[in-house]
Amino acid sequence: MWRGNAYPAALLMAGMVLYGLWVSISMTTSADYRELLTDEVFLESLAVSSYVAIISTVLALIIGVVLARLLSRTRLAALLAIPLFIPHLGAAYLAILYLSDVPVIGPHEGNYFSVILTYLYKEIPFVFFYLLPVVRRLDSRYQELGMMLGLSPVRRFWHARGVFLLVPMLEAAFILLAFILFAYEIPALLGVTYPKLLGVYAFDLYTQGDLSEQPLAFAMSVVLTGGLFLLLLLMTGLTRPLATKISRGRSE
Amino acid sequence: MMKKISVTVFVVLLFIVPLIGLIPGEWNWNPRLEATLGTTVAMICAVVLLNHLFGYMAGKAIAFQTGKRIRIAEFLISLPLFVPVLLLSFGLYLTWIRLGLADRFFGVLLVLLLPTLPYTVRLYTNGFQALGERMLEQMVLIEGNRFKRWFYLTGPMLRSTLQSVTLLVTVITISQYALVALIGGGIVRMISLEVFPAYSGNSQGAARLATLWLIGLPILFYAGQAVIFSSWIRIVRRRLNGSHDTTSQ
Amino acid sequence: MEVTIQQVNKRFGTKHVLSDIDVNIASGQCVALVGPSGSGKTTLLRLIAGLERVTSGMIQFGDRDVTVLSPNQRGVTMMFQRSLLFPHLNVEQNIRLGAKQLTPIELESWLHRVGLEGRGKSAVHELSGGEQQRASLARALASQPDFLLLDEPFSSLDVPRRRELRTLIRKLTEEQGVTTLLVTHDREEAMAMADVVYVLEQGRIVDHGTPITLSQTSPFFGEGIQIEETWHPLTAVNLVSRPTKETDERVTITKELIQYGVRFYEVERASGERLVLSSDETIHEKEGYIVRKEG
Repeated sequence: MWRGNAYPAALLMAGMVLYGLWVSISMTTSADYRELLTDEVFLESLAVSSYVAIISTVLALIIGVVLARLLSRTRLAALLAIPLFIPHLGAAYLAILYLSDVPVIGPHEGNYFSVILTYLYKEIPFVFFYLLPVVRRLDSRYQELGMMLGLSPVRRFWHARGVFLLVPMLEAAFILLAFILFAYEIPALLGVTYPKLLGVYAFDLYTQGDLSEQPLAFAMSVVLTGGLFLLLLLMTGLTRPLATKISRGRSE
Repeated sequence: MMKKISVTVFVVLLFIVPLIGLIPGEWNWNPRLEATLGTTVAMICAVVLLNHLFGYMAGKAIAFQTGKRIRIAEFLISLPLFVPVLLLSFGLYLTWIRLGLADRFFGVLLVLLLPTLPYTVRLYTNGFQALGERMLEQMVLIEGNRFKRWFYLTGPMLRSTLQSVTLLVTVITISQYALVALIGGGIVRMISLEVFPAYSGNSQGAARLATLWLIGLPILFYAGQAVIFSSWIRIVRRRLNGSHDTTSQ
Repeated sequence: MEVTIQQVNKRFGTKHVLSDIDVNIASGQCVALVGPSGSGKTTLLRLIAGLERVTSGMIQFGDRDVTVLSPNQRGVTMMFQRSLLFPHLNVEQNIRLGAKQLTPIELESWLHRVGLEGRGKSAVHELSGGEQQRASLARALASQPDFLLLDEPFSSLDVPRRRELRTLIRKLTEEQGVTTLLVTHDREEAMAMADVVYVLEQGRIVDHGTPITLSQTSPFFGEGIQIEETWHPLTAVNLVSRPTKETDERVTITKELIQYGVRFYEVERASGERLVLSSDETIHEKEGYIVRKEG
């Protein structure tokens, strides 16, 4: 016990995820998957969800990491902690409050700008605090060494900072992407009735449609979980060697 | 210097100033809210406690154990961050019905661990890593009794981790509408179930009141915890000052 | 390449970190800068590297005034306390970083010179601490610097590893004709490695000289030597070892030689007997010589 025990938590998390997935698989037939993959509504929802998720994630990452660089050694970091107190639902309310009468970016516009802005409000601080320890641990001597070895600014940035930031940034990106792709609350409040984002579409299909629509929701669950899972394995597989080298080889 | 000022202005304008809109114009009390608040507070307490329990053990293990098995455990724990939890809860709901957990407090509680525990474990892992194995060994040498050790050393030193965990878990828990509505079947009534319809409806007053609770609860929990911590640390210092000379300031 | 530091001052805000520093390093020489932490020695090193700018004064490399040049225009490299090998690159890639033109044969020869034959493809974390510092030495020297700066590069190593690396650095820098500046808080190390030692305290140079003059004019070899009033107490008391009580005698230094990076002195006792002493404390005590290190 004095070195802790990770198995109860692992069992609980993996158990619920894998069991949920297993039930979903057992509730579907191959016909359901064929139907899903030819379903125009689903495909359009996937496209627009990807658009929202990718734009929000990329912007949140860039702004978050730049702020972490600029504010890592200042007290201002505490200011960015304040949005962490605001639940996502509260952030959605802020969007309703301020953006309702604004053309183009207001809620219930097909371009989903208000949804993206709301995510940025919540996720920039998330990225900031996710990367802050990493940024603080960056060793400026690597940068200085690069300068003395005559590396170009781009190569210097890559070797002295980029490689250390890459894996944590990809992790943060993945977390955000998975969250935004399937979140319900914010797009349900701020989005349009068509095309719906995936979380809203799946939830409505499962709860509001008649029972015949339920297998489609389960099929969505399986396909999207499986897809993300593959992507995750791919990412971990590709970044594992780099992560290992860095964590073991860096000079403290 | 100019850069620092402009960054400050940017952060304050875009992240802090909007919060002014959340200050309620009028304070009124909706009696229906009472039961909901009770359930919400109970749920937050339960989720937070379970998070601390499982997260503490797991975070310590991930920070200090090496080997393939712990890396696999770490990966399994972080799974819910990378997969669509809401979609998977469709399947869980069917099982919960069979187990008699659907529409029950405990059923919702279990599912709420999915979006919270992975973050908790990460926070604890970072906290323990920052503390370091040497420090932990040092503390074992200083105080052999596990409970005393925790009271005097580990707890106060992990203060910021404990506080962040409580805050994050509260905020995530309180924000779940879809999960709670689905698994709780509308019977387990949490504050998000009041908030959500208020936002989609047209009543400004109801929306504001709901938001007040939405934001007030995490702040209350955070403040309550801060009070507990400062008195805890005061007690620790007083006791240490009494027995022998220390430099605690 | 000769290095001249003239009247260099450095202030951070209102705090004077360095005052009127004059240091001369002859081409190919190894100079050590000794001082306690906070004496400004690392700041001086960073000024010379171009990582900080001087408040006033001049830094010259040969005939070149480099005072305002950036680090990559100066032709300097540095070794730090930790190897600072880039962890995502293997040994070979680390060495190539500052020397892209290296042929495979030249690269293998560098690995050979630092005793890392066949380890070119090894990951950084597969090397021991000493091996990492040697790889970092190869990286520094392969970039063909005129001037090598050493920021306490031995402090993370154990005693045998230290001596090994010291020897290697002296040997390779002499071969390459690289001028070297060592910053350290360890007086033994400075005495053992450098041709000239500068003592820095509170941002000022309080003493300098060759190890041999410093040791003759200090109580290193017996009480017969007077401590003059102008003598800086730090140098007098701490720089060198003290005589033991039993063998309170005067000796004359007859010869000084450096071997394997350790400085040896041949001394003559009053009886006419000759002894070889090293400035390395482990040797004194083991051999029971008349000097031992205090503390």
